[in-house]
Amino acid sequence: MTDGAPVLEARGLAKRYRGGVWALAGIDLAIPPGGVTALVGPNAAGKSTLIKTWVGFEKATRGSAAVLGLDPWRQRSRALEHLGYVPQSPALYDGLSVEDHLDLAVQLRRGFDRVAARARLDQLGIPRAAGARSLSGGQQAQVALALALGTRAPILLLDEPLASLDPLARREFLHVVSDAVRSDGTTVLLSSHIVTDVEQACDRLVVLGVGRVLLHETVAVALARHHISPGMVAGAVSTFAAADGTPNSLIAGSGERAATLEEVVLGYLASARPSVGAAA
Amino acid sequence: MLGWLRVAWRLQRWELGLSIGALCVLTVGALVTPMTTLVGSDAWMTLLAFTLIVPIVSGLALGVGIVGREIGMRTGHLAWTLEPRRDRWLLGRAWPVVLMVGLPCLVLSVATARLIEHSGPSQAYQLAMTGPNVAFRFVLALAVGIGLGAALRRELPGLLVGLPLMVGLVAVIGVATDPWLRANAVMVPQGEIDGRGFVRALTFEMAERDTAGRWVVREPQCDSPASCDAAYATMTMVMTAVPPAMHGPYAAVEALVALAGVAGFGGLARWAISRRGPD
Amino acid sequence: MTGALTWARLSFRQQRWELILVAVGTAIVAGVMVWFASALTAMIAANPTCIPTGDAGPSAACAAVVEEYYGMQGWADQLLAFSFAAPFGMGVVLGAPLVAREIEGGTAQLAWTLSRSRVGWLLRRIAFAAVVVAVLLGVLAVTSEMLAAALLPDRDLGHDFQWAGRRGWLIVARGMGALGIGLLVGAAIGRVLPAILASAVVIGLAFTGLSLLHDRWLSGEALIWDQATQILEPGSMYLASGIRTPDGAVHTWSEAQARGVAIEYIDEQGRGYASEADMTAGRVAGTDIAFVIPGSRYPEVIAREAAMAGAAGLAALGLSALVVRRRRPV
Repeated sequence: MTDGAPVLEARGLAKRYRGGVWALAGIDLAIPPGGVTALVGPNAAGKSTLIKTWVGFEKATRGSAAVLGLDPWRQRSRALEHLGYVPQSPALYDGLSVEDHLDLAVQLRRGFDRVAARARLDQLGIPRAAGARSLSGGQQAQVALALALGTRAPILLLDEPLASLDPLARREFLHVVSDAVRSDGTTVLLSSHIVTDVEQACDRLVVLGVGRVLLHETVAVALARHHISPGMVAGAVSTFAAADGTPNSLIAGSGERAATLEEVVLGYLASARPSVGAAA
Repeated sequence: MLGWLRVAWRLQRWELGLSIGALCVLTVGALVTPMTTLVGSDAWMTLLAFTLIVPIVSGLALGVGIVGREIGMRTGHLAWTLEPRRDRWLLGRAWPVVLMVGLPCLVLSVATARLIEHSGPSQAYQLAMTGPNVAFRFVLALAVGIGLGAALRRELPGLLVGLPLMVGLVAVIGVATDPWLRANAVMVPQGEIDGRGFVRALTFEMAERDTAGRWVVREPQCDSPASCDAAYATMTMVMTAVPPAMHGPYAAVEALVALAGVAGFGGLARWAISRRGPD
Repeated sequence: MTGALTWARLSFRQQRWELILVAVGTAIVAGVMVWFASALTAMIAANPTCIPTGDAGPSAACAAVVEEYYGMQGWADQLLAFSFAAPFGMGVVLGAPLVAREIEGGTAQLAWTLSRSRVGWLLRRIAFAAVVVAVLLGVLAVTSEMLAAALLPDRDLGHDFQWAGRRGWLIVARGMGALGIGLLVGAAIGRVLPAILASAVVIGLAFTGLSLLHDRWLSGEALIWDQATQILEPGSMYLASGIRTPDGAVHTWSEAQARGVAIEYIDEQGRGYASEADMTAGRVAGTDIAFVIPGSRYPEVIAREAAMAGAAGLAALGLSALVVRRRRPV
């Protein structure tokens, strides 16, 4: 892996499902190594489809995707060696205990770090002898994360793992992810629509809307570049309703005050939905 | 009403499609195949055997899925909060299946009844394939499937336990009704059998009429080929069989068994889903 | 070795319901077979003059024993139907849910990202099921042979088509074929229950097709048996009956009918006549024959059928691998 070369790439990536629905409409994206990149977007923005294309679960209709330069569809086995994945709703085996899942992972993935996975689970107080079915949603997500981290893969793809977790479970989850990034230099792509979580844990932001990339910046640059002005401003990224209902414009330049990360995300999401902006 | 039908189809379209498809294939096979080539052939035996098997397997497969799948796939949370009265939900899920598969079962039974009438008497199991009995057995299997799916809370174990259970139930029905059918059997000369709708031959024996005109079975008395020929010449091959008049009462028995199955296994399902949560 | 045991334990826990039911069912059938075999053997040993009775029929003293023996023989004969159905049943119950459950339950996402190769994962999953099927059907193969030997103590069943397909290692080969087909249907459908229903149909059709194909193959190798003058070798496989016309040509009855050879009467010597007048005049239209495979060819024919079943299973496994490689995990 060349230093600085993107670990995840998409070039003109488009995906159409049966029935003619376009989930991705020509995405160009390059995720550099290291750190946590947040993939933010509303429901049906194409976040899961993009991640599944990198995992090799979906075949691109047009364009290409790459994991460390490998085509995840044609060179799936080699690409998967570099990936750990936590799906949107992690499904564990009903008949197996948590410890059994670790055994299974050892069997399936050469080099799976069972000791580290056990340590993580023990630290979180997840009983390893418990059946998968008896775990809470948060615990199941943690088990799925422990399995993904145990692969020691340099890239982790986390597909909205936080969606169904309570705030404490979310914090614990993100803490484990941040630890992995710090200690192992893992590259994490975390898809979410909870902006506060993104702010906590991520250093890079990708905003996806209606199958297109709307923004791709480091969090620091995104915050520094964007400002908010009240009312409708010509040339703004978009105008959207603030919490009190008054219109605010997100400006990619100077404005009345600095934008919060949530406002940056809202502004770009609104830009992909002109009717919302107009209404505001 | 149409909504429930649509939901039932969407949720179990594979099972319903396969069941209805199999029943249609059997019906068409029974209707279009020329009687002269079909009767007595391997295809005829296969057709009749599948007429017996398909309603039972369909009923079980559909039944175990109704509750077992909701629990297995954890969609029970959604279903049982949207419709808080779980027995109403169960009824709503079951009746479209009864309708969608029960009707093709009835059509099939009409088609196979034609085969049986043309082929004359054969095996005991043919009684279960006449008239509404095919649909009754489907309903019984469906009830067994629903009950087991709810009790075991998973589809496949429900199916695996249900299959031997249904085989046992069918055997019990056969054994239990046998003395009653025998008691109501009639004797008919072999030459008068065709087209009279006898479906169950118990015995074929040599008999002769007594003075009152009744058939009496007896062994021909003879001690040489010539005397045997003479003795046989005075006698007739007579079939002891269940008469067509018994079709109705037999169907009533099958209906009662199906009702008892619905009450018993439906009750089991009701108990299981009301006592325990969806997960 | 430890890895294999761990894998076996995990595979068992993922399929425990089916495995327990199938194993219990097999154990019961095998146990009953052994019991019948020993009971029949003991009965013959205890009554050497009564059983088998031969053509003369039982003496009055033996009547009760013979009746009991035939009663048991009837039940034992029925029991062999289980060993016929077992391989297909195991293909449906153990093969179809294997991949279908992973897809339906969403666990394929976990397995297919943890494992480098989906095909590798599939092979390991099927390996455990195949071992279980081979062991269980192996037990049935042995016990069914024991039962058959007890039913026909005077015959050399190693060269006898009696109960072919209901005993011996053909059962194991059929099980492997059915397992592969079940696996393929399950992988293609991706839902357990529909896969079970569909695989029952597909396995039934596939093995009917294989059987017809093999019959066709065998008919080209059949010997002609003159029904009236030759004694049929015990244990031969009877394929079809037919006729030999005076010019020496042989036809099955349906072929003869299609060629306009009409036989209305057959005398006790197996000579066929077109009419009563021909019979009176002695104008023979053909002689009654049958197409048979001699029992001595049993090992070879069974090996061929087993190879066909195995090949069908391997082809299905190959197709399953293709399906698994290409399909979405949910």
